[in-house]
Parts: sequence; C-alpha cells; structure tokens
Amino acid sequence: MTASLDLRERLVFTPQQRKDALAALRRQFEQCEAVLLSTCNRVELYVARQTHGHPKQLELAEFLGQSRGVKLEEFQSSLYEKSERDVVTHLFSVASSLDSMVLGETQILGQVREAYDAARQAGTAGPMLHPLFQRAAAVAKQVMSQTTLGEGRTSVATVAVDYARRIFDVFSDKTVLSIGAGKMARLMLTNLAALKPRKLLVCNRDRAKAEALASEFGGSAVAMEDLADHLAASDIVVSGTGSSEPIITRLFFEVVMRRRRYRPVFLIDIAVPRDLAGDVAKVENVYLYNMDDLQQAVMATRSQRGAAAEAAAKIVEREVHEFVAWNRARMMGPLIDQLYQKFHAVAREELGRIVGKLSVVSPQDQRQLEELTRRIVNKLLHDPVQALRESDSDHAPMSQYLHAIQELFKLNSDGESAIDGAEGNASGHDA
Amino acid sequence: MTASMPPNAGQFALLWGAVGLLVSGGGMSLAQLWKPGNALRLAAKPMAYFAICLAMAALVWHGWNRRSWLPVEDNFEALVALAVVLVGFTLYVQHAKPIPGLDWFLMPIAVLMLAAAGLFGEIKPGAYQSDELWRLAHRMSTFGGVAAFGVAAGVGAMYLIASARLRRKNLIGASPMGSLERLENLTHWAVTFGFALLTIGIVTGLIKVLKQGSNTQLGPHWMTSPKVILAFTVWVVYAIALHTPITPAVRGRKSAILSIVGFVLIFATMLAVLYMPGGR
Repeated sequence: MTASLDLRERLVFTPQQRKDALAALRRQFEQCEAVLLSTCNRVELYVARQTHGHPKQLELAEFLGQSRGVKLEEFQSSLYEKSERDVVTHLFSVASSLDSMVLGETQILGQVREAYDAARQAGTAGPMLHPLFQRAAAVAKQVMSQTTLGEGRTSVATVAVDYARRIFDVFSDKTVLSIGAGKMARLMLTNLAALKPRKLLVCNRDRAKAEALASEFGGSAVAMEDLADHLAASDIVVSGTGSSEPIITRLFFEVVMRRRRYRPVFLIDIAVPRDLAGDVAKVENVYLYNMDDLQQAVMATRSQRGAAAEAAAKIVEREVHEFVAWNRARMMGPLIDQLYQKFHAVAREELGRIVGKLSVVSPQDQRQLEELTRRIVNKLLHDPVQALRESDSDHAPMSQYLHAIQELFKLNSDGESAIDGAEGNASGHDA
Repeated sequence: MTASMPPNAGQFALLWGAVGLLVSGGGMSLAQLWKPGNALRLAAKPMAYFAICLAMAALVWHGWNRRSWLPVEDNFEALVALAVVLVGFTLYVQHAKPIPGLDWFLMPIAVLMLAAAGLFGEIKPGAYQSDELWRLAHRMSTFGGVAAFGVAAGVGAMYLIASARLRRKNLIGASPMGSLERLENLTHWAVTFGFALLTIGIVTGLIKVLKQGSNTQLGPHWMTSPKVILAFTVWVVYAIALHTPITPAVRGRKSAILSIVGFVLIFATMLAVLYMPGGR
C-alpha cells in the first residue's frame, strides 16, 4: 500500500473533476497528451510529451495537488513515477487486474476504459496514448480469455451464487428461502437477490428480525411453524440459525422432496453447528453445501489464481514487448527515412560538384559514380540504423536515441516522427 | 424397389473427410481443457461447418447418382443424413444459446453414424422400398426419432456428469456444462420429440406389416421378431423417461440414464435392422 485511505479519498477525482483537470492540463501544457485514471484504489496520470518538453514529473505532481487542493509534501512520499517501457508494463498490468487487490476482477478494465473515453472527449488523448490505451484494453481481454484469472469466486456468497447457476438456468420462477436472519444470511441474500428470484422468503423465530431482513430485499417474512411448507416451495434454501442440533433431518427432508416432486433443490448450510444433517445430501436431487464446502471452493480458487496470475504476467510481458517494438518502428521509421534522404542528398551534391570539374564523363560513367555513392551511403548507415532498430530500453530509452539522432544530424523535429517516445508518468497512489 | 447403389470412391472420400474433420475439431475442443483460449475454439468451429458440408456433398452426390432427392433411401444415406441432422442441431444450439461441452457429447454420436455409413455402406447398401408414402413416413419418422434420441442421450450423459460433480462438490477447475435445469429440459424436449416420431414410426411400421400379411420381410411370426421386440422395448423405455413430470421418482439422474439406455437400444436396433442378415 503506498497511500493511506484518507489520502486516497482526498485525491480521488469525480468524472466532472477529471474533465476539468484534463482541460486545465491542456491549457497549461498545450503539447502534451494525458489520461487521468481515478478509482477508489488509485489516482494515475498518464502523460505523453516531447523529450525535454513539459510537463516534467514535478510539474505533474504539483498539478495533481493543485487540482485536488492537497499540498505536494502531503503525498510526495506516496508518489510513484514510471516512464517509457515501464509505463506500458504498468498500464497493461493495471488493466488486466494484476495490480488489483482482487486478482481477476474486471471492474478495473471498465475504469481504464472510462478514463480513456474521458481523455478522448477532452481531446487530451493523441497519437501516443490512443494506441497505448486501446492495446491495454485488448491485452486485458486477452488475459481474461486465455487464463483462468477471472474464473472462480472469492467469497462464500459468490461461490454459492456460482453453484446456484450450475443447478438452475432460470431464476425468475424460483423461490429463495432464508432460515435465520443473521449477518451471514444477509450477506447470502444480498448475492442471491441479484439473481432476481420470483420470491424471497425469510423465516426466523424472531418475526421482527425476519420482516426487517425480508424488507431489505423486497421479500416476505414467513412463520417458522410452516417451515415444511416453505421448504417444499423453495428452490434455494440458506440456513443459518443458532440451533445446537440439526433442525432438518433426512427423514424430514425426504417428505419435503416428495411434496416438491423431486425438483432439484440447492441447500446452503451456513450455520455452525450445522442446521442440516449431513445425510440430507443423500436424498435424490438435493445439492447440499455447508460452510466448509464453500470455504474450500474459495481457497481452491485463490490458489488457482496464483498460477493463473503467472500465466497472465507472461501474456502482459509478451504484449509489452510487441507494443514497444511496434511503437519503436512507428517512431523511428520516418526519422530513419529522413536520415537516408539527408545523406543521399549530400552525396548527390558532392558527386555533382566533382562531375562538373572533370573534363569528360560519359553517361555510363555518371551512372556508375551515382551507384558508387549510393552504395557507400547505404553501407555507412547500415550499422547505426540497425543498432537503432534493435535498441532496447534496458540500455537507454528509445526517446533518447531518437533525440540524439535528431540533434546529431540536425533532422527535422516537427511532426509525429520527431516526437520523443512516450514519457509516461504513472503518478499515483495504489492500494 | 429403388436400385441398390453402393457409394463410389469419391463419396467415401467426402465421408471420411467429414469424419476426419469432426474428430480433429473434437480433439481441438477437448484440448481447451488443458489450454484454455479462443484460438482452439475458433479453429474447431469451422471444422464442424466444413465437415457438415462434406457430408452433405456426399449425400447429394449419392442421391444424384440414383436420380433421387430423398435422403433416406438406402443405409448409406440414412446414416449420413442422421449425422448431418445431429451435427446441424449441435451447431445451432451452440450458436443460439451455447451449452459448454455439448459438442463433446453429440459429435461422437455423429462420428459413430458417419463411420457406420462408411464401414457398412459398401457391404450392404440396402436400397429401401419407397413406392408408398407411408413407407417413407415410417423411415423418416424412425430416423428422425433416432436423431432426437441421440441428442437426449448425449445431453443425458452431460447431466449425469454435471450432477455427479455437484454432489461430489468437485467443481473448481472443472469445465462448466450448462445448468442441470437446462440439460434436463433439453433431454426432456429431445425425448418428447423423439418419442412422437418413434410412435409414428411404429404405427406406420405396423400398417406396413399388416398390409403385407404373411409376405412381410419379418416373416409370419413378425410379432416376436427381434426388430419388433426391440422397437417396443425402446418405446416403453422412452415412455417411462417421458413421464418424469408425472412420475417424479424417475426425474433427474434416472431420467438421464433411461435416455442413454434407450438410445443404446434404438441404435443397436437400427444397426441390426440395417445390416444384420434378414434384419429388414
């Protein structure tokens, strides 16, 4: 954790604040591109600018503080800054949820997309950040589809919902019954209510508690005395009473199943000690899960996600490499063209001067001389150009190579071809 | 009587090509268990579409040679047509509202039918009599019933596996197979449809036998012939499976088992009728 909850709360941007901030950034630094990602766990500012252009990292941090009315010294120690390839790696990891508290959660991808859309609307996403964010979204989708990172559930309630979906196809004709009205029952009902069942019943010895819980989910409170009737009518049953003995035995439930004509039933026993006798599970078409079963599923999911995270990280690494290579080719292509054009122009000029001084040069000789100078230029440039194309950020950032070439050979620095690589600043607070 | 015409080498090539594609596609589909991802799924799908095209080409070519467009006029065509219907149904369901893993269970049945057509098509082409409308109705309804029961058996097997996993609480990492409710509904739908067709098939078959009297191919003791006894047994099995809403004691797993047993019986009956000496 790099920033406290208190600090994160003060630095978070609402959609309108983000819009205003992007507009202000554009006014202050006309040449830069920016995307502002703000969630409950992170505030990150992605910026692309010309090498040695503005805003610098300190200017960005100051801008961030001013936008939210927080002094720089209050959050400076929580800042992190990344540039070049590291920005690409960071964004791809964030979008793929590899940097999230819960691995495999998909909410972050939606938030990354929102941030990008806001930048597009504000006109602050340009030729550097457009492909970067579009690729990040594609990588995140690839990670979700090619690994099991997004599969499985991380709480007993979501495991229960997942299992309910494996038993039932349609929930609009199903009844959910909760026996007990405690905290765990509420948590279960919160998740099961999302399935939009036809009826939701709460059965508890304390009628007032049952009514209070039922009203939270638009359900009805029912009497404990009619439990057998309600069980016969219910398809999903959550039981979490404080009883020291099982309240439902196999014999009792066999009668219930006959009454419900052996339609499948999903029983979730969240009570400790258990409310349902273990042998109830032996009744035909009964699917009984207790807390241990659900917990085991949660644990298995978590350990499975560890392996999936490794596979996801490999995908991200591969995609970062491809994106950086693509971007390098995109940025260097025009510059290399300029370099060749300039050298050939010099060679042609010098050749023309020499030919003018010679007394007799046949057209055939002139062609031979032109070919000679062309080959000399190409051979001289071959090695440095090859080295440029194969340059990687482990030695020096691509933008520095580009800048050096521009400066050394006095090449045109206007236009996209001369924009130094993305100087991204992922300045943020991550939990 | 339509002239007996075994399939030619080209038709066999198309048929085995279809089998090869279905088997390869099935292998790719299964490989997703170990290597999840879209690439294998995307590669397997066109294989199934291409396989169905090859099988239909073999069917049309064979029909063209006989100057007839009815696809159930001999053993080769009947089995190829059944496989095409089964593959087509699988592709339709997977396109409309997919059930993960459905193809793993239905495609092998289609492969089995195509392989049977390939293996026995030349040995016993057995052209059928098609001079009367009700004979045609008998064949169409019986073969249609077999296809529907094939679906019921495949989906029933899926139900048994999905149910066993739920009961053993062995779900983490297991490939999903659709909900039990959907699998049960699909089995019930397929059994209902197949049962209706089988009933029509039995009634029209009875008319055929009664009309022919002692001249029937089944002989004077046709009532005790294996074909009639097996057909009636199958009919009873499916009648029980079909009555699960009325007789709830056989719903769920028992109904799924009945669907599988019924299909094994009817497929055995069909092969016996088509290929055993004196079967038809």
